[in-house]
Amino acid sequence: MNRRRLVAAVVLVTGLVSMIVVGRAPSANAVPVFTTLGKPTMPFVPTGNFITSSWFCPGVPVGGEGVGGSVIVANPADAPLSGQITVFTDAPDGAPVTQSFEVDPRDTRTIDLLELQQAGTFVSALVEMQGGGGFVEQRAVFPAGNAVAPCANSTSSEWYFADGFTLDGSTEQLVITNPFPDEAILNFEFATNQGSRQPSRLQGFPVKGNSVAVITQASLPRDEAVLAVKIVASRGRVVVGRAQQYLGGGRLGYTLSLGAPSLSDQYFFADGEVGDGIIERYSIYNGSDREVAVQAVFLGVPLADDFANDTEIVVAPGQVGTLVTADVPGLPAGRHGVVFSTLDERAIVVERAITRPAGSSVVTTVVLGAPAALAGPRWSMAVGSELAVENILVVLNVDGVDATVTVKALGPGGEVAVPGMESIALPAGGVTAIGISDRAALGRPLVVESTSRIYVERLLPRDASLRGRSGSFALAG
Amino acid sequence: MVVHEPGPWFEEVLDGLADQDYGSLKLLFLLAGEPGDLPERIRARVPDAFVRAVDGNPGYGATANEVLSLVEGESGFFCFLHDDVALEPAAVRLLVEELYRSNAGIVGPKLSDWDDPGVLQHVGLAVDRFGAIDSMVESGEVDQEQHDAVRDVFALPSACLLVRADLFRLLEGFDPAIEFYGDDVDLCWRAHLGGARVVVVPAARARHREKLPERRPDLRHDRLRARHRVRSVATLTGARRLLLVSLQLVVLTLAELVAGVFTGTLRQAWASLVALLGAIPRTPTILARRREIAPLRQVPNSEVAGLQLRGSARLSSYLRARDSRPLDPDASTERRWRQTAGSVPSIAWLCVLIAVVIGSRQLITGGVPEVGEFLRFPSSPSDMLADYRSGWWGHGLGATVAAPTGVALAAVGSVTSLFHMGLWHTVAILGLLVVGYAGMWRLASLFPTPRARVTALVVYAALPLPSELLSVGRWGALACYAAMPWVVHLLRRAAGIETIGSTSSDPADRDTVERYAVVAPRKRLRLLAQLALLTAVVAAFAPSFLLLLGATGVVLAVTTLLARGSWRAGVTMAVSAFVVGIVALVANLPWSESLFGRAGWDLVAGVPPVTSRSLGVVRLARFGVGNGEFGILAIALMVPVVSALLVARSWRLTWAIRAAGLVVAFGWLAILDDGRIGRIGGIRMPEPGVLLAPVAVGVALSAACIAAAFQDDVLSGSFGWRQPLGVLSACAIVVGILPGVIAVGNGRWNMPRLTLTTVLGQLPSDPVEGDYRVLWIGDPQVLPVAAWTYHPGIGYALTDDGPLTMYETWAGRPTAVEREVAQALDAIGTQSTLRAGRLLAPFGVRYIVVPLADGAIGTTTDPVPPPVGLIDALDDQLDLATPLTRPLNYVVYENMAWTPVRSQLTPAGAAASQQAGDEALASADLSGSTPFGVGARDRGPATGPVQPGVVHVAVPVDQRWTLEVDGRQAESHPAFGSTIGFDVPTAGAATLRYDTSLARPLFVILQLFVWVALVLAASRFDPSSIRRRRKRPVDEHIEPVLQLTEPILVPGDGGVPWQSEDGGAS
Repeated sequence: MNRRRLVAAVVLVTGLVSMIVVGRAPSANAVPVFTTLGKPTMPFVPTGNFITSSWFCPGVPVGGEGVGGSVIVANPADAPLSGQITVFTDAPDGAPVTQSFEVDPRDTRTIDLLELQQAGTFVSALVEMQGGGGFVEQRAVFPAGNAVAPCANSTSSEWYFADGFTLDGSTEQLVITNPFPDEAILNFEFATNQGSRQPSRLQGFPVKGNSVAVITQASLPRDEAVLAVKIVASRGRVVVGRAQQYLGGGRLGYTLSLGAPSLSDQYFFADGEVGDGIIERYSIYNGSDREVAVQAVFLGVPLADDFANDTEIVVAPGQVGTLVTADVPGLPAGRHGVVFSTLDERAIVVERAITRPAGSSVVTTVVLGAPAALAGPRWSMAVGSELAVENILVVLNVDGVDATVTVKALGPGGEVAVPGMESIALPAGGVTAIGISDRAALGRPLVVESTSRIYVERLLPRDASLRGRSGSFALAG
Repeated sequence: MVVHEPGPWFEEVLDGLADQDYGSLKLLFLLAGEPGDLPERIRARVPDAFVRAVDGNPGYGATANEVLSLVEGESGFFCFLHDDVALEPAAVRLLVEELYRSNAGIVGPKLSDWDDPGVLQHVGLAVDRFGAIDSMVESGEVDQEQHDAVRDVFALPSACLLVRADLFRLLEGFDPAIEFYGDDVDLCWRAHLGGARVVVVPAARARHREKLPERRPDLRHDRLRARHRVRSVATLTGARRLLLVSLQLVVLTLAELVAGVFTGTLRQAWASLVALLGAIPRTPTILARRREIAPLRQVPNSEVAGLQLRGSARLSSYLRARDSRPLDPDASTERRWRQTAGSVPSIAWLCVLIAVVIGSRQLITGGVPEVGEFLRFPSSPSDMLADYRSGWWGHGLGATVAAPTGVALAAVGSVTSLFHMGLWHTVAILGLLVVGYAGMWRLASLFPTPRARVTALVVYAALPLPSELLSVGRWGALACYAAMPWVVHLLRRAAGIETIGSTSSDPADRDTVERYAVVAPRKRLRLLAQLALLTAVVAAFAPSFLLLLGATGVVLAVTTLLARGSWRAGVTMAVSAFVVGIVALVANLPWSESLFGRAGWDLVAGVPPVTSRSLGVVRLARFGVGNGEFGILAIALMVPVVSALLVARSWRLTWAIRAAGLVVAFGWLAILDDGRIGRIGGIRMPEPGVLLAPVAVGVALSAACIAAAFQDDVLSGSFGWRQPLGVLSACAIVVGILPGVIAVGNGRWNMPRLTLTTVLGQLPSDPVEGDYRVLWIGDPQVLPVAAWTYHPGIGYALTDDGPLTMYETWAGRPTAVEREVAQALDAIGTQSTLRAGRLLAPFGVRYIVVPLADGAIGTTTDPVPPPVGLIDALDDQLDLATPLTRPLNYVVYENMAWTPVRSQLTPAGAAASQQAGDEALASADLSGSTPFGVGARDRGPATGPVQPGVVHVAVPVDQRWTLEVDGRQAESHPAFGSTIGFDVPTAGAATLRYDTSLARPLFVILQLFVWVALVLAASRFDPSSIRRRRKRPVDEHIEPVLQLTEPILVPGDGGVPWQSEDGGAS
């Protein structure tokens, strides 16, 4: 082999071989990422720069005696906040009504939805604000008690409710808002003690664009102590709220709450309580297609030899598992927090129904658990208490360190700590209930800040004339 | 004999006449022009001849027709002669004898060269249906009696032909309108119409000077030749065939014009075109002549046509002439090759072309589907040229930027299909295959053996690359495939790298690295101009070709040095590639300016992938960039790349090294770009299909090297490792071309039947609610239009309503306003608003389309996943509606907040248009706008009634847009911060127009000048010929010098009763 050939062959064959070696294992062909939105979750106060920010309020009842509701927009910023509200109705051919509004700095604006839209049985609202910074909640007015619920940050194609209850004449209504111009198509699935079912009339259920649809009790299973609902949109996205009026079976009262827009693997509750006359039940809906084992760990309870604190509930796919705290051996009396966890990601939804004595009667309130991602040092509420009562706020410290909690009220001077509530001690993993008595803080938006990550539940009086409380989570952030 | 100012040869002519042994021969000399001493010269040699002067110089035919009046009776023959024909003594006698024997109407002798009687000149003439002559003998063909059979021919040269007197009178002589050239064809054609035979009698011989251009430099020979040819065709072709022949003539002339640019026959082609156009005003004359000829038509036209040549005589004679033309150092080898190649190359070409036709059969009959870059051409070439001249380029939102040169080239190119754009679309795509094959054939001319050349052709044609590129609609890469062999070929020739003969016949070449020739500057300029022209054309459609050219030059230079070749040749190739690239860039100015600066590289390399393309070395090695099948077998073609390095010797080794160099260098680039290494190193290359084009050339060359070496280095050597390796390589080549052969069976190169563009017809075109735009976003692989980069792996683009056209294949650089659309996408992605529809409304965006399946890269059964989060983010937008039934190919959203591209805003919208910024836009409701100028072109004008208020035009702010309402110009202002609003004070009829800058036509003219200069430099056009012609005194010989005079009586006259002018016998 002459030298010319040798040099050229070595160079070129080496090039070929090295090419094969280098290129033999192609890297994975990654799918480009336009954005990472994550699954919709329970409402929170978003941070960041916004061109417009939107809140979807699940709806309030209209068209009856003593019913109605409003939307409360809080503006914690130092500049006026402007926006527009669009009110949808379930009335046939009911067109949405749009109105502009403005909120003064460090103030709130309450918009009575009945003034904008009277037709139908339920109205819901889309609140759009220029820029961000504000936050929105709704208050439903009902003879059996008012109910405050946060408005959703986004729509979703899936909605879940774990705790339904239709025993002894109790009723449930699903309020579905489609704020988009197109029709949404929904499929419903119910889980009861008898198993799951998919009523044919609720498959391919259309919801017109820019409207509200209400699934009344007539379309729902009757006399069910356990009734979970799964709603999946085959087309479009919606916002779903649930109105429940408890008339028997151990429950009384009225709730109107937002559903869970996605499944999760962990839920926190701050306001658990074991005591006389208190019935605390957790409904765990397994929305996945596999059996899951859910661990329930109680927080804020003293260590005791006779309390293992390792409750496990196994839930079949599409079924509901329940945990009644009264049945948990050794669980000490008093307040506690609780966290439900499963190793299966995005599998469950957990709701808590707690029935407490209220005078000579009882009042039931139902709250959806807060997912782990929302744990944070700050929680906000557009709706505070109008009355000076105890235990307005229940705060759960989920960190392993002792913390201090400050409760602030939003007023003309901005966020100001409520006197006496600047540094409330909160032990590691502990729970505390806080009452508001300062007049300056009553009726004002509240902010709870902590030196650790916390969850905050709110127990507002149902009405000035009614005993008992209506529970709901505050807005993280 | 017609005589006109003959030279000193005339005495030989007269001697020939004087020596004729035919006893009844009478001689009549018709003197055209100044007789001078001609009568004395004639009298001195043939004292008994009649000599008569003719008034002026009416041309050969008209002068010869004088015999009709000068000679009475029909029982004889006329033998017409030029004054530069020297007959052999028996010529006339033999002609007469054969005429009797064959019962012919016209006979003629074998004509040979005046100076070298052993070289043939004419043995009759073949004529095609377009009147073109094929002389039937090669230039310089030696007379070896190979044409000595008496036979029928279509025509005989008028230099010497013997006609029956009665026939000549019946035909009324030569066509008097034909002065020079074509008179013989016309006469013989009419003789055929009358049923007379035309026969060549080779036994009768004559010498002929045939140098009319020298004698009559005042004539425009090409023009005359072409004009008379067209006249004969127009007057003599049968009525039934005339239309078809005319159309064919038009096509042929246009093709000749194009070919003339590159073959140095532009002047002849131009003459043909002028003649064709000149026939139009002469239509009455032609019709009159047809009426005169009508009584002659005794024979069916089909019979006459049957006597004519099939196909084009000019093409045949050109090819024959080119084959034997001694042009350059390649010529001797080339000629030798042609003499020894036999029919193998023809068969190979035939097979390849048949394979192309079979493989493309469904595309030929049904058209090429609009997939990838194969978008349809606009329907009107004139509109394309107008778009090009306009200065407003409507792509995206539009801007005052230069339109791509490719627009003008595509419009001009449509002439080849007679402006049938659908046909042109198919030709422009499938034709690239043939261009590539032809390029490889030319490149392979460096091999002296047919086996090597055929191998190169077949391997290049059978590589999976072209079919893979077709299957996914990669036009740019296909153009690179077509052009790459030409690049290597032209660089080789510019560097003076010679073809060397086979070592078997030339043992001295056994150890030769290669040979080099001194390339004349003029020739090098021509070669580089050809390469620049090629590059400019390809780069106008595929800018990445510039990169390919430069890299190829470098690779060829480096491998030349590696092969111990001439450094001078290597440097020449590298520098030539660089210079040619610059020239091509200049030719594409001002559009090519967009290739530089921000986002300019995206036009070359496309939207960057997320991390890497990740095809892998196996797919790249099998050219698997599309949807081909069995491509894995093509990996076998890599065997010759290595084995050629080991087996080949001498200059074949040099080329094996170059071929392997192309494979390795461009393979590495493809690998680097394919893997993460490229991303790490910041290397982002054009799409792999482009990079694999030089690899394909390298593979085909390697195969050819093996084929050449097999004959010269393997078979001729003693048995050793070379023999089995050679056999293995041959087997590998056979295996490797199987995928290409299999791909033929599909009939459409695996191209999809249903493409994204076909289903896009669901979107309305020019709807009454106003013109709109479509925002495309998604994976650039399935976007049917060229996209701007949004994020790695995500492209976006804006198109107008209506069908997508090739305009959308040039992305250009996004303008600042077009980047605002990306900002709106950012808002969607970050969910900083759920009213992004309002942000997009001022840009006229009505639909947002996310493609999932274009039919090629993604299918409805296996769609390309949309970018993560895109659908969710769009689903969240409150202004975006989705149709009830979602197509499988794409996800479409309708922006319910849209406003037409040209619209009159509502009062609220008008107020909102004064605002700028996202927050203002997101809260502005522009619904209710009234459309204006629906269906108008991008560049305007648009007309319609307007009311007082604001007319909004969704294009970037540009002072060249004006709106006139009842003749008064409306004031403009920026609307929404970036588009145009016109304040209309009163109602009236409005016209929206774009005023083209004066600089634009100047740029176009300048660019045209550059292209014409490039074309002339690339052709064999010699500017000095113009200078020579200009210096020539044009009126030197053309003045008529004589009036018809009394016959010049010749002593001893009295044999024939020649008529004098007064009618009496002389």
